[in-house]
Amino acid sequence: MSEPTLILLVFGSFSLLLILRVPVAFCLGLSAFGYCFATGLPPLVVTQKMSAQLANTTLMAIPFFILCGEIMGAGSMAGRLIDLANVCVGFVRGGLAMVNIVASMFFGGISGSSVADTSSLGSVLIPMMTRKGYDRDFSVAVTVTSSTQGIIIPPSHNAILFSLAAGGTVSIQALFLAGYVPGLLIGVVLMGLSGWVARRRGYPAERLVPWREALGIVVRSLPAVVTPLIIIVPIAMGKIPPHQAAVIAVLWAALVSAFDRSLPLGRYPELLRRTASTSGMVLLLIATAAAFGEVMTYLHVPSRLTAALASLGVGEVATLLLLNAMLLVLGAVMDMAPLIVIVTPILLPVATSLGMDPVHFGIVLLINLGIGLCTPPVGSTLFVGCAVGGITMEEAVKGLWPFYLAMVVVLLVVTFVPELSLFFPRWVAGG
Amino acid sequence: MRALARFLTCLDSAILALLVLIAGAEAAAWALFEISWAAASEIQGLLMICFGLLSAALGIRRGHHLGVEALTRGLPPKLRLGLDRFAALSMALFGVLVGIYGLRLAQTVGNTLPGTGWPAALQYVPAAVIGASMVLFALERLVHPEPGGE
Repeated sequence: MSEPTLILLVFGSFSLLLILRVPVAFCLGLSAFGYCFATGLPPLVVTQKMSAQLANTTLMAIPFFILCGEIMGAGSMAGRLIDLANVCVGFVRGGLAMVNIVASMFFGGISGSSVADTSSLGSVLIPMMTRKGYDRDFSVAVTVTSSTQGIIIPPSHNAILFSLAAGGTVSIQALFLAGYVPGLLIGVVLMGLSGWVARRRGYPAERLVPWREALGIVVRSLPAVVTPLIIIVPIAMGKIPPHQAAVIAVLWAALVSAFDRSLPLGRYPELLRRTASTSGMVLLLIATAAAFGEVMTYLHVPSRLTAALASLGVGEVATLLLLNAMLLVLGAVMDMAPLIVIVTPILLPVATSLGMDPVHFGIVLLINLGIGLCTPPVGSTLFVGCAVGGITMEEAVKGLWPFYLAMVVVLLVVTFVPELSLFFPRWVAGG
Repeated sequence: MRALARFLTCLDSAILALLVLIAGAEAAAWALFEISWAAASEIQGLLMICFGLLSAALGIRRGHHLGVEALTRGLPPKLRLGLDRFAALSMALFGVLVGIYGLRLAQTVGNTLPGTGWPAALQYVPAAVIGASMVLFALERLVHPEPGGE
């Protein structure tokens, strides 16, 4: 069989299975097995590749980050971060919306999961906001979009996923550092927009917390605030690998929760079960995507796509816009983790052929897919936000569209100003 | 099937807890005494293979694996049920393939792991065993398409 026929066979079977409601991880695995049967390559390769990928110790960071987020959400740490955010920004107009965004910055920065962020912070803040007179669609919109900061601000398990999908060629340390400025930019833009909406709709400000009380809150929230530093600093300094930093954060979160007696030991089996459940979906995806990626390499798919895009002759700016548009559309119909593992091996060579730094591309990809998480019809964060806020998706979208626009503006700025992503990792590397 | 799922869920959680303990001990040994334990990463790797595949198998039963449902959301319920059954069959086929080739690898790989000195075939035993449980859970979904719990 010729190579183009094989490409058609692999992608055709993958797409057909996907349309027929077969979960993505199984579509990838079955297509890889199909390629082996069609070409006479021993199918042992697929199982071997899957096992080798799962045995990669860096991968352990993913369940550890998820577990850390679970412990923080179930214990007192998430609540303390909300209190801290209230001290910092609660006193301005639309204060609770600002608190929501800043708390997401803190919490999402640890869990790295926008769904965990929306469910744990949203279940506290959305009812609080609606009681204070905020419209439900606005409360859900703020919660859902601000939770995407967690995907960008380090430590993000999605950044690790990207690095693994890139075959380990992109440094996790650099990706973590590159996420700070774009993540903060998203937060600042969302806060500006929320402030504008709050003034138009007359949302209230919270009371200014007296300094003595504020000091107490700051001290109580310190153990939660330092958690990301426990993860980031040793990784950035190259002292320990990501999975060890992540496990230290897990043990730290457990220690803090035990110390303030906010999380009884009896709840840990449930947290472990939930972590295993979430991780299982991601880990199988990574394993089967590794096998599928191998097949794509055999078929020279990335180089063929790069050549096809180059032959369009539309220039770098138009190609980058095309890439963004493609990722936004894909993000609207497929979830984040599958897309990272599927598109990274295909699009990373295209991006680098345009002169884009792989770290910069990683951040652009994460923002694109983060927006996808808030976009119907397949927006898992949007679903959770609607469920927590008790509104329909149509109602949520009504409040969401200005936030979509703001996020797309940030995306374009980050795409065309690479220094926003690359300045910090370069500065640290230089130092 | 519920009892098997409950047992595997406990095993899965125990493996995760063990991973936390080993990685924690490894990090502490390195941070405090600059001691690195070569066998630790091999043991962690083996445990991760078990954890990843086991969690994936349980995910079949719970209906946690992500798919694209937007395209078929508007279809009549009977047709969707048929597609769910097809998806269950596909997952069972995947479990069969992973199991068979995992078993073949376990039988053919003869060398040992450098750190622990354990047989390298151990890396493929989880695929053979858990592949079988994937098939069982997928066949259960074929009969009862609604996701199950423990």
